[in-house]
Amino acid sequence: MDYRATETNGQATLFFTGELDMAVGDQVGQLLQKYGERNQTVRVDFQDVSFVDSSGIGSLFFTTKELLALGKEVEIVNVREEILDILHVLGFTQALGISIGKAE
Amino acid sequence: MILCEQCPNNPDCQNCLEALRVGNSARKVIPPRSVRITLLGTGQTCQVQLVTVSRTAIGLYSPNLPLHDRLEVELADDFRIIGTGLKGIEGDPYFVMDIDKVLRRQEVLDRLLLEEFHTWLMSKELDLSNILLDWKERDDQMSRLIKQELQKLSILRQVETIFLYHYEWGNLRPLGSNRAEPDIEREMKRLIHPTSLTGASLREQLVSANGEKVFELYASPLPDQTCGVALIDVTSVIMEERKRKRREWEMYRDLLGVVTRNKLLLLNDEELFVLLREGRKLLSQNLREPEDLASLRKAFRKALEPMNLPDKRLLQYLVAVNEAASNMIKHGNGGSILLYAATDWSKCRAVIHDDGQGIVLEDLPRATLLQGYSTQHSLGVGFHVMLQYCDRLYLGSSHAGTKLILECDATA
Repeated sequence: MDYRATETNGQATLFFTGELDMAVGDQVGQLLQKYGERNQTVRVDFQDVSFVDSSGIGSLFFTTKELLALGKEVEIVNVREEILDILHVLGFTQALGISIGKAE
Repeated sequence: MILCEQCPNNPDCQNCLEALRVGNSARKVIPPRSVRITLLGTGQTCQVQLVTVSRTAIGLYSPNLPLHDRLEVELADDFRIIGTGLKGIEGDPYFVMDIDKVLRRQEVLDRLLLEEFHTWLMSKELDLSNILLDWKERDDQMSRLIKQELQKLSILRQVETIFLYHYEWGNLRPLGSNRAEPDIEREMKRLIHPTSLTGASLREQLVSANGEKVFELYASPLPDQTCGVALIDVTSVIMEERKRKRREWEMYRDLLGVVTRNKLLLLNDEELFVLLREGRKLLSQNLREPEDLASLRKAFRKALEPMNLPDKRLLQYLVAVNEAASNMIKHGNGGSILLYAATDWSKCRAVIHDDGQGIVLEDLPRATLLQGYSTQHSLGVGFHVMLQYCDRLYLGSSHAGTKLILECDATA
């Protein structure tokens, strides 16, 4: 997994690339935490995410929940159809009530 | 009370104690206590004096009636002991009775009461005069103790037979007429011997030579380097427990089959064995740490190429296998995953061996019925994903642990 991030006017975008599994789960959560703390809005771009599992996005899930509780905004954008399907099965989207955008 | 010419002028006299032939564990009852005895052969009753006690024998002074018979001694209204009387000291009406049974309310609760008798005898409060004079109070307390013990030992009601023994210097003496088969007694001796030397209590399971009977052996060392031994036939209890487990397992199997529309199938050992023999092995991958997961997915992708699964379908299957593998790593031990495929590539199966901590039967209904992170505290969301993304999930439990099999059809 690789990532890059942009920050402008209280809005951060995190671009993840590759596979989000158990090996990188904690790192993904920590990155969201870091950018969420200093921005009002965080967009997580999944355009180049080719694999997710429950451990890979577990930390992302719980960090998102914490940020939402602090009044921050989190959205996940550009999610590939097959990855979106996995997120649905994991209950990720329903449980958080956040906007998840399909890839164009 | 003059038992022989030396008593009571000689407090050091040990004659009456020695006559019990039980070593140092015997004590004099001072002052002697009057008890009622019944000769079981003739029904004759008489008041005699209880003068010495030990764990296995008591001494009685009976000037009016010789006690050469089976007799019952009434220590309290509902606390009696039964044994056989013998001449104790030549020339004196002193008799020794070897204790066979301790009775309460006509019931023979050998182990319990005999132990209690021993406890009473060995207790720190062994100021015999006090104990015996305050018998009523003591008796009430004992009643309570017995009730408590009986509640604890409710399992004994299911037990077919209890054999009681006393182990002393290599000899195993049955208490009462019940005794186990010679092969079991030989094995008992072998096991108890070290216990009697080290003073540590022993609990072992024994199986009869023909394999038909199972016994629990308990040996409690006593202060005089002998052992109290109970051998309990637990064959029927074990059979009952096996039946109960089997019924529970079948209940879960049926329930999960209905709930998952036969997607989650519980297998017994035989079914599991048959299933694992089908197909051929494509790969075996070891898993130790999270970093191994990526290479596992890569290896699966490559091995499953001939199956020509659509991309999305393959990804979903990999997500399912990956969840099972992650669970295995999470539980700390790692392990290996095997991949099998049908010879015509119509289906494949990933076999994950779990050491038993990962999958608990009781958690399965919840994990299969509840979606997503709500099941975080049982099997995690992983199990739900496996069910969604596999065509069938087999679960086989055996003594060696649990095997989880994730099946994927080529034409789903």
